[in-house]
Amino acid sequence: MNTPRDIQLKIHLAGGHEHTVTLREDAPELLVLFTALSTPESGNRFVQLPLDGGKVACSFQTSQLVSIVSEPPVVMELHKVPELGKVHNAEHPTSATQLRRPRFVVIDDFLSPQEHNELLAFSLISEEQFKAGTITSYDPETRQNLAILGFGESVHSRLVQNRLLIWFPLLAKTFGMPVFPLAMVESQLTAAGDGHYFKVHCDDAPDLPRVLSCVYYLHREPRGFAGGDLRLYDCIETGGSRRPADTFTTVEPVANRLVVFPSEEFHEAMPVRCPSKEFADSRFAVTTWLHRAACPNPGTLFGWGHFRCGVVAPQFAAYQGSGGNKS
Amino acid sequence: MQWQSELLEYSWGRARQPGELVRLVAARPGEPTPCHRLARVVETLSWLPHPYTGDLYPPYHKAAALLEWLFTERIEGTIVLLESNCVFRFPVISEIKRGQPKAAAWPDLPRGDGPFGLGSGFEFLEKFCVDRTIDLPAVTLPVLIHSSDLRKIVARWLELMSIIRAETAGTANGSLSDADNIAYAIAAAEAGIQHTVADLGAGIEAQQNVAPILDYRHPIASTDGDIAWDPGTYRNWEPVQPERAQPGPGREVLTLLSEFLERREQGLELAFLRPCRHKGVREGKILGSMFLDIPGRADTVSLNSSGAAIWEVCDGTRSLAEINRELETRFEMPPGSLRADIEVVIKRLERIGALRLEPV
Repeated sequence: MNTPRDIQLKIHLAGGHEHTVTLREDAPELLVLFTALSTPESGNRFVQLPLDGGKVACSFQTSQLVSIVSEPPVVMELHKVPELGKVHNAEHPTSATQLRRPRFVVIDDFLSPQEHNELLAFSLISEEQFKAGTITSYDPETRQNLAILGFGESVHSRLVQNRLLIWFPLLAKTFGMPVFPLAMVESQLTAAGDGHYFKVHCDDAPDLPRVLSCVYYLHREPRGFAGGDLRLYDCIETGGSRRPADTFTTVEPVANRLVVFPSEEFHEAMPVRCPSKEFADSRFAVTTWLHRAACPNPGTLFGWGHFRCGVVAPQFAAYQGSGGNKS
Repeated sequence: MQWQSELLEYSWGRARQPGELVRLVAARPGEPTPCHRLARVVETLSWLPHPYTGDLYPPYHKAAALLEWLFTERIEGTIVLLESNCVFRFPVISEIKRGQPKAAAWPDLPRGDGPFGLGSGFEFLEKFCVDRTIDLPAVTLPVLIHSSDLRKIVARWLELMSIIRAETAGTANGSLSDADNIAYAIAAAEAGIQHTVADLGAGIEAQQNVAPILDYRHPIASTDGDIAWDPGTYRNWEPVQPERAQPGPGREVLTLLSEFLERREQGLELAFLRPCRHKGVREGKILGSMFLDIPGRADTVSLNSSGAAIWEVCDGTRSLAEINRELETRFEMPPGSLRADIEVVIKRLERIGALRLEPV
């Protein structure tokens, strides 16, 4: 089976508005858009599309569609329109299946320019310490990149952790989850060079209580690589099972950008193309995971050593989350 | 405190400050949100006490609430950032470009041989700051800044405040009370955002000043050398005596507060509000009765004859004070006799989405 292509769409809306969006050719939104154009009698529908790497969402009624320019050209089979938010379950036609958008936030300028440069300089002089391995497992079929083991103990890791802890209550609220007591903050520094990738996966596991995954990007300027985008996949949820959909939102690995998402979200690091093949031109990333503590521990210190995050502060204890998403 | 926020709101409307007034309020789940006539109230997570250190330092909430507001609402444009113990004398109308914030001078910035040119006792910053050689701006609130610049500063501001307070907790003087100002200066300098000192705000002790904002955090001296008024001990809506204060900014603040209290007592603090009809509201008359069709409401609202008379003059051109006067004249009623009834009707029309109140 061929890999679905990315289709760039220029969407013209009533009133002269124009938006450019990239969707995979099997994305349900594509069918919805073309069906709305070809058969307006099929009814007005509400559509939301990710723009600008998922930082912005464009929402409109299909009745506002004027035209679509697609590149490459696409020919759609317009005989079925999937419900956005619900997909048909062929195996269990009576059980409800939900298509859920990925939850994530993008924070640009996460560190100061000097802090970014300091981390980058550290990454560059640490070339010898990068190994083809990870904290948990290494499977070249699934993942190819280089990582520094033990980075989590470094001052550079603490620099990122401490700033992240400032954001933590707000991130939890944004994802609609209660603030949780931290067991640990796990961190690794990776370098993705030419041809490196990490196929679709999620970061949590029954024996790995990661709750939030945070990826901080750094690279030298001008950027010496292409690709390496983070794809966050829509999730198909049926009963108790989950799997990634074919549709996704892309976040570009921009220097000094932090992307945070619940660790259960399916995601993928797309292959990096690095023509120079120089280590210094790699796409570097500090990935940090916040682990939930099974038993709150007020004695544990986090970040630079000032913060007791092993228990939930009283003002947050009553807050149970609103269930809201932000992307 | 509610009286401070209402006084600030009153001065904002009185000065005809352009833009939106937003009050960021730390709220715990289930707690009622304070109400304002002009200001929009935004509830944010509470950082008092500090959720990780337990430190009871009110400025944490300032930075944390700003972080949440800027992140959640994606604000774009110029922000006048000021403390709740400030009032407007006249409007601040400068639009600020990115990278060009203005702020009030802060002559108390410690100077010495330590990191960032700070005095001794700040050596601990060596551990937490990458570049300790950059110059710090000696500035404080009020700050006029573009939202994109504030967004770059605010998380680091909160973090540094936490670090400075924690690191100085064991010193003879205890945790540094100026930690918020020093943290702001470092965060701004690290982000490469240069501040220009501007005459934005002045304390009541500055006799000769033309600043548009007055800060009344300190007690106001009386003509006989005593204290005429102390904001720290003032209770909600107690009367004040401006004539007891020395002439100058202190008396100006008390005069404003006195004027606000008087108007509040008479319901005239609404004088600076103008009821405007919401777009899309349609009116109709059937057999002398007036009906309103309000977008988003399934039912039609019926107005009695007094309600209809009030609705008719709420055309966006008159302040509430003018509406009071006009209806009292029309119905030949004594001054002030209709004020309460008019306010009730207007509040109801506002609540059901027919009207909104805007500053004149």
